[in-house]
Amino acid sequence: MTKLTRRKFVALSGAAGFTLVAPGCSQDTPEGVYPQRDITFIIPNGPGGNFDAFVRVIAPAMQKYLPNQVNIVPLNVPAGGGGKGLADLYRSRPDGYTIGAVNVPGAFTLQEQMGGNAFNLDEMTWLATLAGGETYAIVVAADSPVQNIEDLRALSAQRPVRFASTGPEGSSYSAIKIASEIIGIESQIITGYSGSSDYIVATIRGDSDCAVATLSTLRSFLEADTVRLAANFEPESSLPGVPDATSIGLPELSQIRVERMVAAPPGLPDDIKQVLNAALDQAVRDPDVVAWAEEAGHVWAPQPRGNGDEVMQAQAAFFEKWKSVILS
Amino acid sequence: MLDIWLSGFLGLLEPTALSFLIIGMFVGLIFGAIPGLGGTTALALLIPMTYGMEPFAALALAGGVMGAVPMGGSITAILLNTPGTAPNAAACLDGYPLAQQGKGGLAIGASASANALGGIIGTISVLLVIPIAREIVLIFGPPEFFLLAVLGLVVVSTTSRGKMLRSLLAGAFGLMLAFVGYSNVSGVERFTFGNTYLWDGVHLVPALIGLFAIAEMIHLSVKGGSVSNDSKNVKIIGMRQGMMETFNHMGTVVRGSLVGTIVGAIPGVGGTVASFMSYSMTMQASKDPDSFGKGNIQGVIAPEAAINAKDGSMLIPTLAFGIPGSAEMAVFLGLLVLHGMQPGPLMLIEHQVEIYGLIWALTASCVMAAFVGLLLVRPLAMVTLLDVKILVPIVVSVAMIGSYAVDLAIENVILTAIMGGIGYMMIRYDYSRLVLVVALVLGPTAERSYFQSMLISDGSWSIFFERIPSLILSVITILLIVYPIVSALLGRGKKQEGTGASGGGS
Repeated sequence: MTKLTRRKFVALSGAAGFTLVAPGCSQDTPEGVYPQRDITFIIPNGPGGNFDAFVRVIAPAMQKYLPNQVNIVPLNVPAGGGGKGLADLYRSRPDGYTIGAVNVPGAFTLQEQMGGNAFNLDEMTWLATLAGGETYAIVVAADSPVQNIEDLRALSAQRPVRFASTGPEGSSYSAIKIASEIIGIESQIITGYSGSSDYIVATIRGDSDCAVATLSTLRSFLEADTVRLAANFEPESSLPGVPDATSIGLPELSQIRVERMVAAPPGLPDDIKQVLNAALDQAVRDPDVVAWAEEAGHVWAPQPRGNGDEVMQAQAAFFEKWKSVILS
Repeated sequence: MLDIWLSGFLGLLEPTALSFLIIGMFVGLIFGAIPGLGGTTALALLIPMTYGMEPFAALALAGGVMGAVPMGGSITAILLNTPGTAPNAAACLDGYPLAQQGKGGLAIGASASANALGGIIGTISVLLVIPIAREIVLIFGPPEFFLLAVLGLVVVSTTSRGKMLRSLLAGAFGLMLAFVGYSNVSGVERFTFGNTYLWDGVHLVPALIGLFAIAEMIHLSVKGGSVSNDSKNVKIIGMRQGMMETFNHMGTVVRGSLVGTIVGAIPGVGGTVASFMSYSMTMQASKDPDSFGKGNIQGVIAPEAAINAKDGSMLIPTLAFGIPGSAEMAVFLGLLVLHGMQPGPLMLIEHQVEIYGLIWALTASCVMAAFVGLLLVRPLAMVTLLDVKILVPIVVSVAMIGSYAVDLAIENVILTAIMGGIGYMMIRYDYSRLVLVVALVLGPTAERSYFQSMLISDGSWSIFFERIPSLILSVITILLIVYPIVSALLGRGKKQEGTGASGGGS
């Protein structure tokens, strides 16, 4: 019996030690200089998707550029469509040891749904974007009769166009609502899919007529010829032969974006904010990270350091404008 | 095809890949055996370590872990009635009664060979299925998911003969628990009482630890003595005999493996359903269903064969579409992305060598873990000889730490304690914990896919009969409901006629 527990203990501490014990080993930590211990990086999504991957690649790179050698530990808190992760982040101590990724504009929708009790996006400390945000595209199955926006409008004249999506808290859900309004079609959203891959497959399967997704997510589906784009919301399409927001004559579509923000709890001291922003800025430009993004086919456009407040102001104004449409 | 298949195997024989495979297997066995840890935790802890490794070696490590977890989990399920991982809970049902009868060795031997055989059959099925993987994933839409969930519920509730009402109550209670939390169909949170912990629903693993481990410990301390009633036999006699038992029940192995392969390939359903479904189907097919739950060796073989078979096929939706079939697969997907392999339709074309290497690693680990697990059984088996006064505090501590470790939430421990109390009452008053667990697992899938189906069909139920796969599932479900009623009526008729022959006996 002693043998058993010792064996379990050794195995456990061996594995856990890698992530948990390491800060105790950092000898050269100058007293009083932030950071002194591990930093938790909350991911308000499950493991797997793009959001999770971005943070898991950025975290080790950020570690390299912090003044002291500590770990940045990603923690998935997917509950409540990401609401729990946001609420946890909002309520944690503003000491720089808890930061989190925030999916915008999805977070605004969540805030409205929860009646502002769980968190307040206005009060949060916004650091920066993980990399430039992305626009969306309307995607249909490769064998779909729908070719372009005109076909969608024709379909809408007969019955509402079906879109597959995650729940109302998802940024893709907001994108569908706004895009339908701009294009002028009736939409019916089939909610409940667990993530972007899931609702793209649902569209291929025929659960819905189309879906709205980012090009990063669509790349591998496009290359395998399983889907087509009916419209690309980029101002100028990066894919040849696909109608873009400009050529459709609806430039407003290119304003529908998803931003992957990094945030900290309200009241984060300015000196800590500077340290985190500097590390984050270097991490998104780190050669390994850039190479990874290129290989995986992600749109990777690092933005100016500490652009969080600026981006959030624009996003808040955009959400305010479309609020009634999204929440309808 | 064949050359890629072979080069995957040869790649695994490289010293680095091989050693990572073996390390992964040991980690998997140990994490599998500790209740509440399991493959998800093991992979999550290992991912950061693979950052600097070659993708192939990282996959060998992951394959090693995933292949060995079920064997580790079955050892504690049988000896302590504490499933190491959720799918192993099905092995408790008969494995633990066997351990109580002093036949723990027999059960573990059977589990080991069922694990190895299930793994091999699972691999063969996956190799046959990979070329048509995409078609399979595309067949299963919301109506099929809903019907599959209903089928799962029907299968378990019809097996509880003579306790129909209590099973229905347990199932209804399980469904009530399953609907707690945030619904991402409607974007509304239900029954959470403003508590953010409940936004994610009733967490499955802490609930399972409570229902099985804690409940059993309460039961034991009330009863006193030691786990094994007949302590002389626990010295693991009959392990070899147990291994042979599996070969005597090849039908059960094949059925379990096929159930595991099919259920595993359907995302979102997962191993727990596979193992319980295999268990229930074996019980239904048996001539002596009443012996299940009291120590029938087939009750160990069926779920264990299914669990290992499903490991291979769970890779299909994960790799082909990036849709993880379970929490473990979701973490594994994170590992793939970290190593620059973007799961999706292209994955099956671009990374074939790695995929076959991974499948080989899974199979090799299943087989090796079965043998290594047998070597470790002797020290583990002595646990059942311990006095309850020593055992209970140890198991309760390990279970509670495991429950906390799942996602580092103290609320998990509270949930485990509450479910422990409920589980004990269920043992005491003879309610089926199996039905409750299956309802808890399938509830969210059933609810979500029902609403999605209704959205797709504009509220028409005809969607459940229009497509051929859903029609087949509907027909099977109806037959399963009707069959026991008809056979009961016929049986009663016979008895009334005075033939007097009772149907049981094997």
